[in-house]
Amino acid sequence: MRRPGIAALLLAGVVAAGVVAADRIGPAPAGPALRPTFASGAWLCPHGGGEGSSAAIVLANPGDRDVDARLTTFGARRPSAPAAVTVPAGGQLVQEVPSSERGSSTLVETFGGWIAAAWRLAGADGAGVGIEPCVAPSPGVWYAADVGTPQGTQAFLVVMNPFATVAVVDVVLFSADRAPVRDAEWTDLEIPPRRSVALAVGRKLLGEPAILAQVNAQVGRVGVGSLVVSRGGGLRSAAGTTSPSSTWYLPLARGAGAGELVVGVPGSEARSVTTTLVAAGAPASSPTQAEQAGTSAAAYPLQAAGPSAVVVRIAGGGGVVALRAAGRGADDAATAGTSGPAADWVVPPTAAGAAGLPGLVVLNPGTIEVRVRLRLLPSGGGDGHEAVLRLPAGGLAEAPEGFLEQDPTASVLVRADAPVVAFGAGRSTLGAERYAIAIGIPVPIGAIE
Amino acid sequence: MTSAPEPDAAVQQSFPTVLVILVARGDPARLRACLAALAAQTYPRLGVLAIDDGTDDGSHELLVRALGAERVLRNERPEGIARCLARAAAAPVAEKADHLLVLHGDAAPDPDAVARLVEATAIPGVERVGIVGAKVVDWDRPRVLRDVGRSADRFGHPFSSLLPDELDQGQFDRVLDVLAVDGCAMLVARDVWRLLGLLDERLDGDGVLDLCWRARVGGWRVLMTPLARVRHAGGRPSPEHRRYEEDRAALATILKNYSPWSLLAVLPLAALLAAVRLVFLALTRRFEEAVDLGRAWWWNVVHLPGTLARRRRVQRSRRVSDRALRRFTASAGIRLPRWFQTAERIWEEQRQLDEADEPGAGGFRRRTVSLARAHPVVVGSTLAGLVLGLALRDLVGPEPLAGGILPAFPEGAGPLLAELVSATRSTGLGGPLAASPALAVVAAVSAIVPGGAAVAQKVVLAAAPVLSGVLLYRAAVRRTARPGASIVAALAYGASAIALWALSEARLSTLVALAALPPLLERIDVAFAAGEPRDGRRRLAAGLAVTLALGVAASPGVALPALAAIGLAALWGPARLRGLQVTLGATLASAVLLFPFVPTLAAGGGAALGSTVGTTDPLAVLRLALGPGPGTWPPALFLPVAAVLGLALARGPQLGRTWRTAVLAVLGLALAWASAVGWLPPALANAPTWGALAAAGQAFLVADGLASGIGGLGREAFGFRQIGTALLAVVLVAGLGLQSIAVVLGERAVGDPARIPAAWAVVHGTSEGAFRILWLGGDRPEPFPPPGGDPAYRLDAGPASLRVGLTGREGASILDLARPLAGPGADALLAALRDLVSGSTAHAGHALAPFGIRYLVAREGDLPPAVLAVLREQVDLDEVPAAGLHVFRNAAALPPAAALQLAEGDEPLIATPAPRAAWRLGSVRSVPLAPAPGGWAGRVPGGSWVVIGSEYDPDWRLRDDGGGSTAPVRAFGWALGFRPLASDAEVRVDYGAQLPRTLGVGLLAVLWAVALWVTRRPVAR
Repeated sequence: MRRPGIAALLLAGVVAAGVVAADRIGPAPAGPALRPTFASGAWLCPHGGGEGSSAAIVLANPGDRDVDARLTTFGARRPSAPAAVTVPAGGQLVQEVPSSERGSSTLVETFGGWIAAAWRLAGADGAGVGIEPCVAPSPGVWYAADVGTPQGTQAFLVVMNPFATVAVVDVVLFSADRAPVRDAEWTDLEIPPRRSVALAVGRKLLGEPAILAQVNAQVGRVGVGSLVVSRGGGLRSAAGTTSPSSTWYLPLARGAGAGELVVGVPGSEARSVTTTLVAAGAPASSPTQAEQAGTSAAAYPLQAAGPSAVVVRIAGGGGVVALRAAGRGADDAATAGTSGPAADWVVPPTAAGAAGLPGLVVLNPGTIEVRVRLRLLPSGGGDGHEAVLRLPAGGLAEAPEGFLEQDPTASVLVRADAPVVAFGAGRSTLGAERYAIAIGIPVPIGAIE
Repeated sequence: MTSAPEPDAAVQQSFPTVLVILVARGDPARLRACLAALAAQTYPRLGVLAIDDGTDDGSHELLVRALGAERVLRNERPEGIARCLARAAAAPVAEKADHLLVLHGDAAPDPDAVARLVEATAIPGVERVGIVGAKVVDWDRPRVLRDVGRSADRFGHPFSSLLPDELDQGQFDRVLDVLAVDGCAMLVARDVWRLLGLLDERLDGDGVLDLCWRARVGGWRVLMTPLARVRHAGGRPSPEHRRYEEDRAALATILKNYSPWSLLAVLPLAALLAAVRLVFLALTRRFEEAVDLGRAWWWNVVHLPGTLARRRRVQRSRRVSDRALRRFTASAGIRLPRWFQTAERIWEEQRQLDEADEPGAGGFRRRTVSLARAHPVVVGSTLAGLVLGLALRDLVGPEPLAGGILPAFPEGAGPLLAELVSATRSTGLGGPLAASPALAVVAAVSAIVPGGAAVAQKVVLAAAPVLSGVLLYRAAVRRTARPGASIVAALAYGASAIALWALSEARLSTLVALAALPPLLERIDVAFAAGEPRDGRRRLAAGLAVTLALGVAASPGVALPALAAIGLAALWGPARLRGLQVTLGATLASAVLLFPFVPTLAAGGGAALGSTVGTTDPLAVLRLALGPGPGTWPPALFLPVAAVLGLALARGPQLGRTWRTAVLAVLGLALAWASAVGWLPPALANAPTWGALAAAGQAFLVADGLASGIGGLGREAFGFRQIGTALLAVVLVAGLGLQSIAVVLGERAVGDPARIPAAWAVVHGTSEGAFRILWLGGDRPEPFPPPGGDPAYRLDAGPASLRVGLTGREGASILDLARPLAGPGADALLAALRDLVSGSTAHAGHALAPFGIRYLVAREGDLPPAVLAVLREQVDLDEVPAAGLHVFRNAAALPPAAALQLAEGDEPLIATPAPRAAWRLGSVRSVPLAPAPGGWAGRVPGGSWVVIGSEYDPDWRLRDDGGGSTAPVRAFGWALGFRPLASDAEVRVDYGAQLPRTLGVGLLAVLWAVALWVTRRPVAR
């Protein structure tokens, strides 16, 4: 009688041990993550425009296969007929797009590979130019930090809805000293499907040198950029961002050397803002620190002697930045910067025309020396010229002299052994002095060989 | 034997003449005894006329020697008792007799039997005695009563109040006024037989009730006198057709003997009950009895003129109303004999106990225990019925069911049968995978049950747990021969967490597995057992094949534990060679019974066998709680604990089988866990079915332990067995009690339409036309929110792994029962999803458009964050506000079947073999095609491509109203496409190779009919 009982207990013991073992073994390991093939993509280009302005989308293909793209421009009326183009491998294509409305924007759809997209907007009579990378479609809250409305400027929020459903947005404006502005007209604002609008910030908040705009899509999705037109024809253009960050990198080069850093703090708590200037061939400047209140935007003046990068650290949480760089003429430049280094970048051309004075700056925020290869991506493709840089840890360097001048209108592929930050900064002196800065477009891992 | 000398007048007056009509039909030994008994009769005025009914065993010679040739009539061949009596009654000697005594050749009356019969005709105060019968006892066991008079139910079936082998203890020793007597020794008054005739020749020996009933209608009494005792051997005709003869005679009897009003009331009810019996007999595979029943009714239809002619004669002689005869009809009117009689018996027992017992709690407890001991099955079934009724209370009411993974049922049986016969699949992404033969059963339910799909769903869901409990009980009874232990095991099985979870979520496949596994496991044990199968190897194999086929048809995963059981028995069983022969033969036979469905089972690497749900928590697996629901809480551990105790208590020659069952149960647990956590390949990973194996094994262990533990405890010294049995009882009582409470109080996943998330209205309520829904979920083995059903596939993508399902706009459908998402269409869909989750595309909407997918739906919080981010980055997927769900609407969606007017330059994108070409489609105007029987139809603008999100097959055709026929091209690499027509046209798209499938289904029906006939249950006696 006892043996079956003991055997049964043993079996129960085996089962109990099995339960313990199963708990420890756990689930089977998941397979490897699927690698993206970048077979299709999309860029939102809220470039804006206006009467007499001209816009173009710069498509740069750092890969080894041609990539097809389809461009559709939106405004307050029906979208344009899509334009189908092919961007050659190792080259770029500059496609003119309509920009007769303040709120003009373009959707770029790509097929067959990854390409970088940036917009170039020139004011009426070419007095000013703004260049900025296009942004990826993203839901949620957008921020634009370069919409200040000091005297003599008109600032616009370009809000684009290239999607098939209506978007309903709330716009809030933060400034230095005032309470956040929530205007009834800009609350539950409907952006119809496949439309794009420009919101004049000055109509809601005038005379503020630093304004952070928050565009919250309650329903649907949008893309946001900023457009600032100054008296005398100057034009600045910057992309919005959906990702407040605690670290930002911005360029300050090829201009007058002066600039203004706008820091926006959307959160309610105060932040400590530390700014460091890194110049080529010189040690980093001593950081300057400032305390900034929550739900505010503030402007911090900058002065650089030569090509420099601005490193902004926002302690206590995330923030949004924009850099307004003064040009040597009436035209200023602006960029929203980038929050993360990457090994590979595509930097759009920042000089207009063959007579432009292009510039490219690479920052090494790491702790080891980095070897950087540069390759031009000319219009029409082909074997672009190459160059090599060496950057010390924490250092900054410009493209070798004469490199960019081989094709001032070409994009540049920047490939480094370690994460770096690449910017473009250029001037054009044909006619009015035009000045533009643009952050590069990080190339996703695996997009190119 | 010679007749007695002529009596004088006084004797004549006090002793009416009796002519014995002795019918000899063989058995000379008993005939000799019968003749001797007649010779010993004390009655003075007795004559004998014998009829030899075509015997050839010396009976005729015996009669001639005993009675003389002039007293023996002979039929050249057997004519039956009725014709014999009719011939005898026509003899001149019969005219003169006051009484005819019908006597069978295998009946031996006591010496004073005839005198007592005659005496009963002249009882003072009892007039018009027409027929007198004797107390009939068994020939070989004279103490056993065979007949003491009979009644009948209202439908003409004879009914005897005698219990089987009831002993004669004088309990019937009084003259009884009855409806009918036994025809083996029956005294009939001359007036009766001359007016009404004797037995109906058409009914032969079954016409005795009819004769007696006629006598009653004519105002004569029919008595049974216990003083006249007759021994009777009771030879009956072939048992195969006993039901036929009984039913035939019963119907003919009521047709003749009831008044018109009575007949109007009884006949429709009799027809209804016959129909119900017919269905019951067919469902329980008692086909011969069902055929007999049908033949009996048909006989009466054919012989109606003769019946009516006899009816007129009866009704002319009527002197008594049917109401006056009602006291002779038995109470078992509905003729559910075992249940009704058992209930009556229990009631009578309890009433007697009540009278004998003292009042108070002690008496009540004793009565309860005695009731449970004496009738464990009834008690257990009643308790289970009560709990189940409360558990299924949500099924009562007119509202349709919703929630869980309950699939949508189409209205009526038509769509189900159409899907079964169709050569192409109308759900999923089309293709040739055949529907499950189980749809035929669902169609039958839908056809029989009034009230539409909503009621059919409820019937199927309510029947499933009952079926699993009954089948577990029957298998356990065959295994242990202990009804008490088996009913407890069945209750434990029904109260297991897995059974309650399956019921809560309306998991039809799991419920079928729970029903099919017990008989499968028991039959496999029998195949490998030491002794030869009682029914023979062929019948065993056939039965096993049918059960396996039925189970696999609705729950393909059932094949896995069945094969596991076969494998284990092949390693460990006593008769391995025979067992392998039987089980492998059965497996092959079941494959034949499912032959159109076999490719479906094999598709996608056996995807149909697997399941994507379960639990990764080993403790939950241990108690068989594979998902949430009432009864899945820790007390559900009662079953495995009881199983361990049962294993410890089991003993006897079947201990080896018990241990094999224990190993299977442990194996089931281990594989259920391994399935859910991804350690098994998809074709073997089926946590619910492995869990069902564990549950069935555990229930069998409980039965084995109880069967061993309860018997003989009192004869053993106190020790482990007594303690173990007590522990087992405590565990079972506590477990069943707690599970019952959980079932009654808990909320099931299936219930009223409020079980569907409110956000579902975003998808279902606001969209028009046909479309498909892609269901997505994170890498957890859980179902989708209702009505998404269970995931069809797991996409392995590392941290972005997903579960995927595809349904129509109504959600999961019963048409997809046991049918996987597999084939070129599914491969293309999964490739598109890999592109999506890997971040390789920003045009997932376009990628999913050729599949007709308009919505992507996931439970809020269920998607990996990376996947949710990727979805939100798509330019053609727009998230729709929906509380509790993530709903993405596909801006590029195409109807599942439509005419497409493409942008300029996009035409090459349709016919290119590259599936990613769809991403580049520009603006598309679509004109949907409506589903039509066998395909689609609609008006197509000229210059439009017709694209259908169904797998390409060259046998499809597009026919236009101009008589043209267009062959298809492969669209998007996998789908159906038809090149543009020159001008607008009415078109129809249909499949041109339906005939082979139609023939195949016809052949399948024949095979099943043969299989069910081979495995029919023997005629019940």
